Amino acid sequence: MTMVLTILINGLVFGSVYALLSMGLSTQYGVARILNIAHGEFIVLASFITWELVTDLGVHPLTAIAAAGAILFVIGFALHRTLFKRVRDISPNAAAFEGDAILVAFGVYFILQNLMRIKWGSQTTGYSFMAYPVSIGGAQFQARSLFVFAFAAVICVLYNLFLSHTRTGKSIRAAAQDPVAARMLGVKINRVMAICFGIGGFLAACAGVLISMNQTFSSVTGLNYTVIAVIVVVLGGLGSIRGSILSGFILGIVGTAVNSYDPSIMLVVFYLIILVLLIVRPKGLLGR
Amino acid sequence: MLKRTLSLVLAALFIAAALAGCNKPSSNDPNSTPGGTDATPPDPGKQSIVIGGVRSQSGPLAIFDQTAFGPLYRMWADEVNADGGIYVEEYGKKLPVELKIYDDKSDVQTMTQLYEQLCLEEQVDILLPPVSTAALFAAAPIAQKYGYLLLSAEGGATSLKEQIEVCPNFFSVLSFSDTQVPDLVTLCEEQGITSAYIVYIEDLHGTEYFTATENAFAAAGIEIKAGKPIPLDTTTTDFNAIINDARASGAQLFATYVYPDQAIPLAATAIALEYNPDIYLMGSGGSFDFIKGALAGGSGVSPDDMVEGMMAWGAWNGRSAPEAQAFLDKFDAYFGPDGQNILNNPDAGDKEVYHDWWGHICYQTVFEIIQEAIEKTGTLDNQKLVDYIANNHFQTSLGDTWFENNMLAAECYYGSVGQWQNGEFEVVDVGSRRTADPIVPKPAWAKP
Repeated sequence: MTMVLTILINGLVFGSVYALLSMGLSTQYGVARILNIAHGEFIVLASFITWELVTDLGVHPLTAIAAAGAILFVIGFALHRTLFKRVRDISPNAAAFEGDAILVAFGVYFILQNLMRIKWGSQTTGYSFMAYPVSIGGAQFQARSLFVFAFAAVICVLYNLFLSHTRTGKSIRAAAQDPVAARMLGVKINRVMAICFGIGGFLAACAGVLISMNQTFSSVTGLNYTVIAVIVVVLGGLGSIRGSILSGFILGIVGTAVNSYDPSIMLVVFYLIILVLLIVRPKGLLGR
Repeated sequence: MLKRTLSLVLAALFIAAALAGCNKPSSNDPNSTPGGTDATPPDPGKQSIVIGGVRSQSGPLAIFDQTAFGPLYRMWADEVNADGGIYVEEYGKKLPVELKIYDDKSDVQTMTQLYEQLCLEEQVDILLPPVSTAALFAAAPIAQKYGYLLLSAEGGATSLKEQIEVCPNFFSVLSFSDTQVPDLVTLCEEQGITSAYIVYIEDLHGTEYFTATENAFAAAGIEIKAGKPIPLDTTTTDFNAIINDARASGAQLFATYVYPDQAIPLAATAIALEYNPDIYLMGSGGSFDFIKGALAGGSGVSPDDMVEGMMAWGAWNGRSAPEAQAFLDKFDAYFGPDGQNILNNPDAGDKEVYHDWWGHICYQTVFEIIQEAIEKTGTLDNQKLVDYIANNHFQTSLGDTWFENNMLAAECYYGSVGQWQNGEFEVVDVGSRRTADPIVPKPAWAKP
C-alpha cells in the first residue's frame, strides 16, 4: 500500500511538472505554429533568475515568478514580434514557415544556452528550499515536492480559466482553431500570436521557478526539458492544452512506477508510449 | 501536419548535430607546423608548441572542462609562457605553448572526428586528453594510429588497461576503481560497515565502479543490498524512490557512482528526506568545493556544515605532502585566494574555478610530466616522449611519480577516500596517507 501511495503521489508531482513544462510549448505551437526548441532554455533561465534572487536577496522563490515571468513574457513577445513574424512574412506557406521557425528556434536555443554558460558557467546549481520530509500514510515525501505539485496544479487550473473566461483567452482559442475566421471576426492575429509566445515564456518561467525549488539545474539541462515537453505535447495532441495536462500526469505516474522498478529504462518507456500512440491515435490523446 | 512537423524536428536535430561537428578551434596560429609523427628535420622557424585538445566545453560534461582539467591546462600554458616557454633542444630555443582547443559538445563521435582532424590535418605537437572514460577509450586508438603521446585526465577504468595493450602511447593518470575500491573496502572493514546500497550511472564509469565494488565487497563479506542503475539524463528520474528504497534497505553505506549532475540532486533529496546513513559516499563531484554551495545555497546553513561528514573519492589536501601544498599555493595564487571566496562570487561566470580534491593534483602532473619529458629528451618527437615517460620517474606535485604498465603507480596517489570535515577535504584512507580520522557514522545533515 505504501508503495502504491508513493508511486501515486510522486507520479502526481512529476506529472504536474511535466504538464507545466509542456503547456507553454503547446500554447506557442497551437496558435503561432512554432515548435519552440528553445523552450527548455527559457525554463533554465527562469531557474537561474530564481537562484540569483534566492541566494543573493534571500527572497522566497515564489516571488521570482513575478520577475522571471515578466522577463520571459517580454522576451517571448519580442522574439515573435521580431524574429518569428519576419520569418512568417517571408515564408511562402504555412508548412515552410513551420520548418523555418524550428531552425530559428534552434538558433535561439544555441544563443541562450551559451549566454547562460558564459554568465553562470556549466556547473550544477541549486538552492535549498523546504528541505524536510513529510509523512503521508507511512510513506515519506519531500515537503518541497508537495509544494511544487500544489502550485503547479493551481497554475494549470488558472491557465485553463484564463483561456475559457477572458477575452484574450477566447481570442487565443479562436486563433488556434481557425486563424482566418478569427481574423475576420476582428481578432488581431499577429498580436495574439505574439501574446501566445509571451505566455509561453511566462509559463516556462513558472516551470523554471518551480523546478528550481525541487531540482538542481545547469546551463546545459534545457534541452532535456524541451525533449520531455515535446513528448508530453505530442502525446497530448499538438496544440491541445488540456491534452498536455492529461498526458503530463499520465507520463508522471507511469514514469514513477517504472522508476521504482528500473530508472534507467524510463525514457525508453516514454518513447514506447509515443510509438504506440502514433500508430493507434496519430493526433494524440486530445488532438484534433 | 504532425508527420511533417516531426520530420522537420528530426531534420533540424540532424543539422544541429552536423553543426556541432563543425566547430572552429579557439585559436589558430598560421605559423604552427606539423608535429607529432613528422620525421622531417625540425623546422628552425618554429614559433610555438601547439597543444591540441578536444574538450567538452558545452553539453553535460562541460562541468569538467570548466572545473577539472580545464583550469589546469590554462594555468600551465600561462605559467610556461610567462617563463618564455619550454626549452626544446632540437630547436635550440624556448618555445611558448599555444592551445588549440575544440569543443566536442560532450559527444564522443564529435570528439573522434575532431581528434582525427587535430592529428591528421593540423598535426599539432602534443595532444591533450578528452573528457570522460568513454571518450578516452575512443581517443587512445586515434592517438596511437598517428603516433601521438596521450596522457589521460578526467576518466579512468579497468577496461582502459585493455586499450593500453594495443595503444602503448596511452598513459592513465587519474586514480579509478582499481586503486580506490580496495581502499574503500579497508576503510569499511575498519569502521565495521557490513552493508551497502549503491546507485550507479549506466556508462563505463558507473558500471565499472559498481562491478569492482560488487566483487571487492563480496570478498570482504560486505553485503550489497541493492545496486540501482540510473540513466545519464536524470530529468525524469525520481530520486525520492531511490532514497526511500535505500533507507528501507537499512544499508550502512550509501554510495553514488554517478556524475555531478546526478550526484547533487541525489544528495539534495537525501537531505530533504533526512536520509543519513553511516557513510554517504558521493562519487564524481563530491570532491569539488562547488558541491557545498550547490547543496547549501539559500538554506541558511553554512556550506561547510552542509557537507560535514560526507565522503567522496579523492583525495588529497595541503597536508598530504609539501609538494601538494606547493601546488595548492600556486593554484590559489592563480585562481583566487581560496574556494570560499570563489563560492561567494556567483558573478564570476566561466572564471569560476573550484578546488577538486581528487583530480586537480593528478591533472597537474600531466603537464609536469610532459614538460619534463620534452626538456629532458630535447624533442617534440612523440615516440621519444612515450619511451621516456614509460621508463622514468618524475618529481611532480604528487612527489615521486612513475608509471607501471602505463598506469600511474597506485603508490603515487595521496589517497582514495576523502571526507569533508570542518570545510576541509580530509584523506581518511586507512594507513599513513590519512590526514584525519574518519567520522563514522556521519553527523546528521545540518539544518538551518
